[in-house]
Amino acid sequence: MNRQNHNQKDEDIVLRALEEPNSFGHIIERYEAKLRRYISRLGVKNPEDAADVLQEIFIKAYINLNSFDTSLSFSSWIYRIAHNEAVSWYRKKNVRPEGHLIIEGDEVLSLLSSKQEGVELQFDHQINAAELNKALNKIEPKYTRVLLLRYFEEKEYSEISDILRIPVGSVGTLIARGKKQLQTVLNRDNLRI
Amino acid sequence: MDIQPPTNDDLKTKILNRIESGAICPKSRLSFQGWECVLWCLWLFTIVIGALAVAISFFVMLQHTYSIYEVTYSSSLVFFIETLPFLWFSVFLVMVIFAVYNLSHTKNGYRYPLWQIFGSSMILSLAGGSLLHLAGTGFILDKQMGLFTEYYESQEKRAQKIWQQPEQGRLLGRLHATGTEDGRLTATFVDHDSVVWFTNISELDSEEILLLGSGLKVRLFGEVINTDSSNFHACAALPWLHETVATRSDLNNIRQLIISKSNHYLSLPDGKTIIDSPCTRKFSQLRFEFGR
Repeated sequence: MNRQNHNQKDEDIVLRALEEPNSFGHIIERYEAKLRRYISRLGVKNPEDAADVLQEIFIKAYINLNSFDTSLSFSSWIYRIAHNEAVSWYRKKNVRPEGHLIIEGDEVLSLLSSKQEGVELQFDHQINAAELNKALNKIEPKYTRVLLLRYFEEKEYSEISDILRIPVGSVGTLIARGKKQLQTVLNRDNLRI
Repeated sequence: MDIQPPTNDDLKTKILNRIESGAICPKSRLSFQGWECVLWCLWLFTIVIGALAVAISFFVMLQHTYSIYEVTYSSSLVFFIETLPFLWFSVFLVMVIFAVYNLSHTKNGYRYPLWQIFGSSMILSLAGGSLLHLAGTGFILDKQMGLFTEYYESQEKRAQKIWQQPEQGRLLGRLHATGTEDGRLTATFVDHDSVVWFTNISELDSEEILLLGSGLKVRLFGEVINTDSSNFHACAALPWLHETVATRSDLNNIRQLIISKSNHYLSLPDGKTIIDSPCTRKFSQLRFEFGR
């Protein structure tokens, strides 16, 4: 990606891609890694499956480029497509999503325990990520999704609202409830306090 | 052996090749705008139908039958159960549900909480329905649907059914001729089923006789004296209110007329009651729950 493209806004690239399909390549370059990581967290673990799902995401994004509202964030819009594709993939496969959360587990735990969010939880920062991974897979998917977006993808509430197509207020509620459910599910015996 | 994920370039090239070889093009903006437009139109349609249902419901609940329901129903509970427009309530609710569905599926519909979408759709339908009711739309729609749809029972049809019950002392029809018999004022009255009734109208007051003589459709409240010879004793004559929208004042006047006649028969100034008149029996059966 050259410097000019690097500085360009997504919205400008989208407008260009509508005229010149090759410009869509810049969108692919920008979002491939992010979306690969996101769908993997949603449960598309196998690299080959992930490549297939990613292809579908970008093709759908390209076909629906004209439905993108430039007043919104392009990132939210393409994450929405990615979310739908991942969900539809594991529905086709008839499996419950099980994400890869291991890498940033510790970091995420400190975010989850943040009092800034009004959470009463005090998680042990040394908890091992595998426990968190297991717990996230045990809670209801609707909570897993918002927690993933909030703490792993570091999305704002408004972005999560656009990605999951739910009101911003519901995002806050789901996050709060998700954290509570996570607290219940986490096996405290396995925490290294 | 670990499977390596494809490189960035691999994926990009594959996708761009697929776009090129499959001649994949972005869908036109018009198709998305068209779909958005369809959703908004459907939403508007459901709001309008909901508003019409509200207008008819208001018309049914606020007009006609309630003013003298004691004459036609055994109690207020029976009256409410039999007259509440459950069909239109259901139409209104179904329309609100469709409105909520359409609105929440518009491009930005997901941003609003369900209660806000539900509340706004409901308020718009209710407000629209109230305005339509004030404009007389509920009355017109109910009447027209009754005329053109055999299975729809309009308020007019319902009132016709209720008032064309001679055995209950209720007749609906028009005056054919007047005369006197043994010094009593009589009339031949043709009811809704084209039966000619020889009617004693001596107990009607002058305003009622004027109403009867107007040639308009009239409701008679009284008692059948003889079924075989079609003799009827009229105790009250009331206007038929289904030709135009009745005002609150019309309805109140009718109620006051019936109540004052009832008072007249049941409590005379000297404390006595007329015991030999069929009207005394008829009015004594009425139980006015308010406005007496």
